[in-house]
Amino acid sequence: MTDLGALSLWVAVLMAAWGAALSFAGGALDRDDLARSGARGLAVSAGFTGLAAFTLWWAFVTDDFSLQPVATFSGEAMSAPFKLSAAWAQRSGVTLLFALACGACGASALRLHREGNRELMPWTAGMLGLLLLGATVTSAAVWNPFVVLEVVPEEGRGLDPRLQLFAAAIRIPVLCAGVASAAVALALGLPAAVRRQFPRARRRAVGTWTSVAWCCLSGSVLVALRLAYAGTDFGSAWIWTARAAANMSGGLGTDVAIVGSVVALPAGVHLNGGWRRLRPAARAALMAGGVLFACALTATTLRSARTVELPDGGSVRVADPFRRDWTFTSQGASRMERPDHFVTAVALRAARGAARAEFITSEFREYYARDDRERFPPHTITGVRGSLLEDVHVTLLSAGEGRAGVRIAFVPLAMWVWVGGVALVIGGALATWPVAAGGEDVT
Amino acid sequence: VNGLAIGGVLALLAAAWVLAPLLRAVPRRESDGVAPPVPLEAGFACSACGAEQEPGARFCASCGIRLAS
Repeated sequence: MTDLGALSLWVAVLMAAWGAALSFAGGALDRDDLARSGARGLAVSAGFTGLAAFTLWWAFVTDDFSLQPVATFSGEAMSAPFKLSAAWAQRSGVTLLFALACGACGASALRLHREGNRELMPWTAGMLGLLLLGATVTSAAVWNPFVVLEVVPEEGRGLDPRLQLFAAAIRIPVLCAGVASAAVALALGLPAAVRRQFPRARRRAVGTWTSVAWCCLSGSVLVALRLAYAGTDFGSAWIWTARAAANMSGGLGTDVAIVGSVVALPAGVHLNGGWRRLRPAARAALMAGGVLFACALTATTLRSARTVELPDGGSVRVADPFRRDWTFTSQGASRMERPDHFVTAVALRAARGAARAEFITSEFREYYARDDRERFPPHTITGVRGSLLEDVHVTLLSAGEGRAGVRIAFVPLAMWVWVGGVALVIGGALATWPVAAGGEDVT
Repeated sequence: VNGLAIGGVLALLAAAWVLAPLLRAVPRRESDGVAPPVPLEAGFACSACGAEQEPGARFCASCGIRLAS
């Protein structure tokens, strides 16, 4: 299967090159046979990219530790969904996933929008072919996931527990789909803009893909924010510090998503007739989401944090940003052994006035392999008690004999970010999705 | 070896499908390879092969020849 995957990648490269060259030639020479062959080349390239991705996933699911990515990022004890997501835990997997997204979106666009766009379609296919060629060449020649190990280990190293979260698993696929959709929208729109021909069918096609791109890109930004917020060391910091922002971005991907979202929404709205012709529901969702989001981000500047050392059973009074007094009582630190890691945990009883008291638990996890060597970097799970007005965070900093050092933090209006963010995603999707009557053809 | 064999067969089949539009015999006029359309009651037809065309078509959907505007 490994051979099949590696071969499929190179066939995909050849077919993408063929598709791009023949499509451009078909457009320049007005030759339908060339254009048709080019479009078929792109479809075949997408198919072989899919075959390569399938063989990689198959290697992960069947624990084929002869492959370097499987041995490095997977393990027999992992659940099947996270074995699949481990495929894009490293750069080579992400590149292949991006090539798959480009191929799938490109081939779908050529198939769905071929009627009514015949004259410009070869140029669109040529641009999509170039994109697919770049992605497949990178995957095959630079970051090839089908690297075979000379010595096959009995067991894989496993996936970092911080990546074994649903949000972490879906962020990369959603981001890849968003970037690929934006590229399709650009490939559909650019030839029309150059020729100054915007038939109704093409405007609808560009609008549809812009809407998909907006949903995926803005959704991936929200997921990245959520991961950063629920991460280990953010507690009171969140996105306002450079460290938190760097962790939130997770590299270049989220930066691309932010820029893409900023471009996709106005572009889609413009194609849909401008801001004045927005659907009422879209206008309401965008306004509500924008206000909530802005208020929440502004309010997080009022966050406060305090570091305290508590003996077992000891209490401390802390005032939140709204000047309300909270009492935190330590239930004591404990240390326990789980199948593949040690946990040091502390639970605080958080009470405010007559309101019902709740327990907030923070954990420090250390992962060890069979030979007692450190398997993954230790990390802290911050305990969060969420409410509409503010979130309370408890982070375990240290644990000694009968004492525990904790950081207690308050983040005002944090929940408004998620509500406002979801409203912005939905509002943007409604605003950019083409209206039923798309207006007159523009030439 | 099995993987390479399967991949090779699939690649050959795919290549044949991709090349098929180029291998189809396209009837051409000797002058400039452009066929004047034949007006019909609804739409028009290709003068090279006689296939009925969609309004606004620039190429014959049947034989692929360029239709004169």
